[in-house]
Amino acid sequence: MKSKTSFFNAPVCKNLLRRFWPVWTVYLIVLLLSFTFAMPQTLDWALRYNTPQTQNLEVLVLQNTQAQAVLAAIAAVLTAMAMYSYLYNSRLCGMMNSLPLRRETMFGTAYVTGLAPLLLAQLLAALLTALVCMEYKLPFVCFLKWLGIVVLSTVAFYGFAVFCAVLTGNILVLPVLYVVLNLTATVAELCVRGVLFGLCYGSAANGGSYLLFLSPLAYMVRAFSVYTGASGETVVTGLGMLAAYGVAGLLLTAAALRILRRRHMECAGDVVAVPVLKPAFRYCMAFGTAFVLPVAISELLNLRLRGPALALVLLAMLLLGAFLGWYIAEMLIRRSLRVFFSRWKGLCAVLAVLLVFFCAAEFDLFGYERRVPAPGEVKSVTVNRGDFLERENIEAAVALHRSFVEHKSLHDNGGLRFQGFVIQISYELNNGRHMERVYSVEVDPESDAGMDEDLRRFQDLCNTREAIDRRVALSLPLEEKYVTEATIFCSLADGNGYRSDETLRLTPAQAVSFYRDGILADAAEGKIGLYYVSENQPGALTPSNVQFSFGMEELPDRQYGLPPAFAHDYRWFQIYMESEHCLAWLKENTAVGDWICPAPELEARAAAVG
Amino acid sequence: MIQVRSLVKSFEGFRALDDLSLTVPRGAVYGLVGPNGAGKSTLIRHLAGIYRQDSGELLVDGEPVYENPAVKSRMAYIPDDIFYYTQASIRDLMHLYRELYPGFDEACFERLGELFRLAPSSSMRRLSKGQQKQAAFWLALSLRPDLVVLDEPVDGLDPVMRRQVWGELLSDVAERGTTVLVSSHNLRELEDVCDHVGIMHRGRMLLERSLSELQDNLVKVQLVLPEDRELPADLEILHRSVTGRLQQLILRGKAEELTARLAAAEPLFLDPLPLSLEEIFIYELGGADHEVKDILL
Repeated sequence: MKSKTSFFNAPVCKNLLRRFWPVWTVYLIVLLLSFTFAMPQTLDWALRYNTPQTQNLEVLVLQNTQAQAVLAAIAAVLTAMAMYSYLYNSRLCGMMNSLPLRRETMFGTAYVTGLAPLLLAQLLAALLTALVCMEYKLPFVCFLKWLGIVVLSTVAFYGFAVFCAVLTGNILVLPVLYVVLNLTATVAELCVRGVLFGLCYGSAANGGSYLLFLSPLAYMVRAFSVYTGASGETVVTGLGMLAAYGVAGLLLTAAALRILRRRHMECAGDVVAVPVLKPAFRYCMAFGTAFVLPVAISELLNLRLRGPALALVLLAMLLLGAFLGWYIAEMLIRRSLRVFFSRWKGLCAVLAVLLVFFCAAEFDLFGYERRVPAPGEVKSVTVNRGDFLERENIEAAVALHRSFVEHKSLHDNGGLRFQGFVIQISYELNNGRHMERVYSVEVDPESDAGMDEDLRRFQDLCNTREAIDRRVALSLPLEEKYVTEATIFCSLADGNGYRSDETLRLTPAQAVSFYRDGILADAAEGKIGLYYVSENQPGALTPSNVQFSFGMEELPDRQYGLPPAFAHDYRWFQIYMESEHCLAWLKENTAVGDWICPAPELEARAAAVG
Repeated sequence: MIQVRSLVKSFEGFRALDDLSLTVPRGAVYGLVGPNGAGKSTLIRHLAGIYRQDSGELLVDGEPVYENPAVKSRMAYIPDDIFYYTQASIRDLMHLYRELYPGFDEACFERLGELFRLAPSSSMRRLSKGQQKQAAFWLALSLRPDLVVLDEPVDGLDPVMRRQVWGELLSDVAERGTTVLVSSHNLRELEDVCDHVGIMHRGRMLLERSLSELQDNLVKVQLVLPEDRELPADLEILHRSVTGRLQQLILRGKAEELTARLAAAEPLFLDPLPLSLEEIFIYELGGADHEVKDILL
């Protein structure tokens, strides 16, 4: 008769604690240093220098969770390495498995013994920090929130680490596997995009990552954030995903237990401990290396190829990468270097898939490069961060896109990175889908006569009324109380040709007046807020001698107990000789107005004297 | 006590145990003999509950060992390559074993301390290989197990300590009916302590007999025949060596029967000699190695 299942054994727990206490001690010390001791200084600094977060100190406390999540990820894998070390040494594995304990007892004991001290350390850090931060009158719930987020991260990462622990039989492979699986989706997406960028005209190498959520560590660093919202409230982005990671961590722990029950203990020392995963490991390594190699080589050697040469090099690197990945995996599985020419059928299948992928991308079998939406399909379009909603401008953007497609031979300058001036066109279609294309155009800054036709189209689009209006529109009302800074920088030359730089600081009243009577008036006539691809173009007069920078901030009104709020805006304008209203305002209201002259004249005066 | 039926275990295509069967009676001291790679350690790791078989059955007192703490708690296992936590002392391990094994006998532990003369506070990493083996025996015997599984147990022990360890084990067998399964290359030692022997070869059990039965089945004789006489025709000769007129034969069969048949040839000299276990092992297994099929009885 078998004994009943138990998931915990106190003597084994005590034994583990006695052996691995330094792991948790080090974690506690780092935790105290990075939170308990650091937080008073952070809060103090925020209050002393009156930073925007001053109004919501909770944000500062919760912002610490991002660093703690990374720390938890590191602590989780180190703890898993210690707790499940009995799986990696055949002698220790034999000793532990000969004890009168079921596997789930060992597993559960190791899980709880590893996790509990981490959570206790976090609880202790939260309590101590609440204590040392009492003078800042932060509500205790703020520290409970911190604890909740850190605990969720820890459960997630520890579950993930435990899952990795049962997949391998080699303790050195465990952290590698953990890091790779934590980042693999993001890196794979990046590399596939990189290769597609070289093969598909118009595709973007970078851009938003669709698979970031599958890389928990990368997600916590890049997407999880805490900030003060428009109404002064604490906003935590990615909390739902973190909760999902926590659940995933528990599910992975359950999956790890199932795998461990079926695990063969003789696999101690093997890179892949689960026999059914060995083929998957080979295929993942082959495809992974196939896509990483071209991107890595391109970055290292700064390849600048185009046309068939680029395609052939990419194909060669894809196939070579797959070959290397396949046999490196085989070497790791067999722990032998004599693996070549074995399992060649699987390798052939990988190479065939890559060949199909290459042909589809290079010869545009799916019509990706040729696809241009009809203007009627487009709801809005963004061209290099300029949003367009007006039908006429949408049509112009589509025409620009079509022109790029037609001029592929001119602009497809190859390589695995952008070269030249980059133009990004992002559509939001009526059916809710998004479409993005990115092109790069060679620009000769010295030449204006030979400006590319597509570049000219792009510049025209950027200088439409809609684009200019968006450039001058402010996010806060144009009122004196919001103005925090307003300066005009002038590079002047007097009658004798002496050149000097002047910075005028405007009062809030002057700033509002200048913005309303100068900037907005000129913008209405298309004489400011213009965009030029190259500086040497007709119309781009005096590009450098008068600039206006303008900052606005809405600060909370604590006097009346209103909810804290924070919004800000900052604008910078180049003032041209044709910006008549701005120049008139300067002549009327400042002493420098008379001295402003076109840049060539300024240079000529300076040259004559010099 | 132990019943193994048609046990199969493969390691990536290599069949380490190939339809292996074995029976160990309660209270027996069973010697598991075989050349390197025969599968002895693999079988023992199955017995200790470390490995899971691909197929077949392995029972102790009618119950499977794998994932069965009730059976494992009545069993002591000493592997060929001992491992203990390096920073642990013998006392630390004693505390762990005392809590894991219900049969752990603290008084026995104290008594055995006088035999092994190791300080309980000694850290395992400071002990020599032989001392670690002594510590292993100390802890294993303190469990008061019903079954002791030993894999090459006395390697590293000095002769005096070997005798003392075997003395303790055998007294346990005599007093409590403990069953012992021991694998060893030291055939002379097994001969002194075992009452049953199983010979393994290439993952299979070549033969499994009580020691007396095994020794009764092979006969070594020295004889000198008159010049006009020859050996009886149908003798099963496993080995023959000739020095001058003196022949030394290893024959299969019962000693009395073979002596009588040889005596019929009126030898000038006939002397039946006892076969050591090592000789039995060499001749039985040598036959298997050279694919003499009739070695299988």
